[in-house]
Amino acid sequence: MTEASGLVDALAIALLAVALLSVANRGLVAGVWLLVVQSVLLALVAAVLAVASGAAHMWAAAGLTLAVRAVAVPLVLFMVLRTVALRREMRPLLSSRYALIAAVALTLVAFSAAPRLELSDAFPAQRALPVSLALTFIGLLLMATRRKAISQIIGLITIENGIFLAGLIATLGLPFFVEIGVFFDLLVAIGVTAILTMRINEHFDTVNTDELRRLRG
Amino acid sequence: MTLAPVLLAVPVLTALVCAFAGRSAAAASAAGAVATGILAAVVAFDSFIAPPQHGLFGLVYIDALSGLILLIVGLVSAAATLYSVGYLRNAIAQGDIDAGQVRWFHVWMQLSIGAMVAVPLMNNLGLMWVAIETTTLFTALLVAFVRRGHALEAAWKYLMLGAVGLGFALFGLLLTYYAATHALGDAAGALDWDQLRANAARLHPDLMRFAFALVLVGFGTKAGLAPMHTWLPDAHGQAPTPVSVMLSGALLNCALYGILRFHLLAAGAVGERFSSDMLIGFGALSIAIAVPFVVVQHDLKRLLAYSSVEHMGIVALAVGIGGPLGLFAAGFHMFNHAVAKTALFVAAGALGQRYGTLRLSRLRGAMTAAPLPALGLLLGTLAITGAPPFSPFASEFGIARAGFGGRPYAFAGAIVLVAGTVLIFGGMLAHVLGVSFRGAPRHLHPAPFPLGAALLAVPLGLLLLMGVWLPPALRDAFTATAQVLGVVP
Repeated sequence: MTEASGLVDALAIALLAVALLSVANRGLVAGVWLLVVQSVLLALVAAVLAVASGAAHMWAAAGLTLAVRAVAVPLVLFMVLRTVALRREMRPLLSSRYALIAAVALTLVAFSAAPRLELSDAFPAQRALPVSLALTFIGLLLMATRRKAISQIIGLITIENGIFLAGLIATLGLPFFVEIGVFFDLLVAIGVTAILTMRINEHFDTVNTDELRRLRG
Repeated sequence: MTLAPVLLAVPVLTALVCAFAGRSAAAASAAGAVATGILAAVVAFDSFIAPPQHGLFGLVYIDALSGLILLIVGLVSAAATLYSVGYLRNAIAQGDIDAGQVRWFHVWMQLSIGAMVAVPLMNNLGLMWVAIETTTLFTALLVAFVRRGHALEAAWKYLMLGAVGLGFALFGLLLTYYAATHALGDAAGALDWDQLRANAARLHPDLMRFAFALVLVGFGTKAGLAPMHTWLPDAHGQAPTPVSVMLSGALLNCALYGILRFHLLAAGAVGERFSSDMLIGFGALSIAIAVPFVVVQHDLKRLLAYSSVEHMGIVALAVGIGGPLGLFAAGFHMFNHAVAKTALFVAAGALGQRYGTLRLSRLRGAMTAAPLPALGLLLGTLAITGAPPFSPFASEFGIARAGFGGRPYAFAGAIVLVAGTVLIFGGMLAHVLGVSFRGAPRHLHPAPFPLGAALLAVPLGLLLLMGVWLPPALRDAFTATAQVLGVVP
């Protein structure tokens, strides 16, 4: 089990590195590929835990992660990208450099805050909890500072991945049929956001969510 | 307990029928929604007098709290769907919607209803989360149904904020699951409500504190509690009006229901004060934030939406104040708000289609242009703002009395409630009196309002009846709900 926990830690750090890369990166196609890497890493975490714990449903979780997060979701996003003919995140609210600095700062906050959450004696994922918090923060940062709808979806999925990681390590995921429901919801959510993105594109001739700032008061 | 599976199946089957029904999709949808409403009422009134029941291989659990939500969802959805038939006909005539899209409207509508019905029925809190998330997805499609820029903006904001909120709630759920596997040992049933409720005292208090905070922020986003409410006026204002009825009257309560379940767990694990105080805080903030936006408002449906923020705050406040009176009034007020908002949005929708706008400055002289909806709007406004003899007055009075008799924190909450209610009464009534009586109508569109009299008279009559004399069946309902919400297991 100690070997497994070392492996999981390494994978978690790799996940964090990939998330930081997606903050620095502005190409949308590359952004989706980074998401694929994140998902594969998550699937590996699940697989390692499956070997270590011998829990059969963890293999299912690993397989579902691969099928839904690493294949189905990116396929939908690539399809949207092809339809809207868009390649780069233009004029984000923060330049890549400052966004990266902000992301590193948020990561530090996550690592210093996690032990103070009064959970330290109760929650087992000592090293994964900070990483999952950091992923959540980075996802929020992406959603708040990017203007393209696709980038916001990438941020949303990064948040989801952070939560999923915490779940994998703390409790070996949720009960099997709840897990299925959560995966199903993720799939539908991506489908719905894809539909809306294409409608926004159709209507405004752009997927800048800046256009979506007229409702006030 | 054989009815619950039927109740879950009817909306899904209706959605299937609508998808293939072509021209008669509207009729199928209306019939399905009425059937769902009747079934929901039967199951609900049974739950108020019987002990909690299980069904469908332990998947379903029904107590009085689920019953109350089920009753609200059933009635509001039936009214919304009936209203949608005439509304869509006008929308097609006015060129807002393609005739070919109508069946898709009904498919999404039925799937939303199915998801909402599932929320209070699920025994497993994880599946409850899944059901709540599913409601967001289908209703977001409905909000964006008319493909105007504003509607797309509202739907996008709703979807993004809703998804982030539900992410927080999922984190809270996970912590609860972890606490439960440690306390109970049995991983498979560790998210089942009956198990958790019975063993709430054994859950780790630090974990449950953190979990409740996450769930309150997460589901609170969806329930429209301030300061996470910013999507709500956009979505409720921009959605086609039958959808606004459903979002405001039914869906907000489903999200609040999720919070209440976790409140009971946190109260069992940590002690009653922690989660109650948080509910009072968020409730009072929601009431206070709604005041300026109601007083200075330019759009009729946004006005009603901010009023929903206020009333979700009032219900949260009432549960936080607690005690037999506060909890009775909480359930009573939830029901009152749902019924009143149904009438109000139906009236607002009818006016909107008659005038071709929802801007308050252009809705003028409605009593002559559209007397029926104008009268409904006026009476509904009097009811929702707490004017006697309508029943929201009774429930708000009960909440205030419970608060003034409670601990200092509850006392402060009651002061916010009274001050906020008085200000919003003045603000809303001024707007609505302006719409009804001031000026003369211009640029009217022909907009028939079939079933209008019934859709307005039934809810308003019910509010009047409950204000004067609360029928024993409903008294039992709110008493039983209060007993479920009473914290000692």
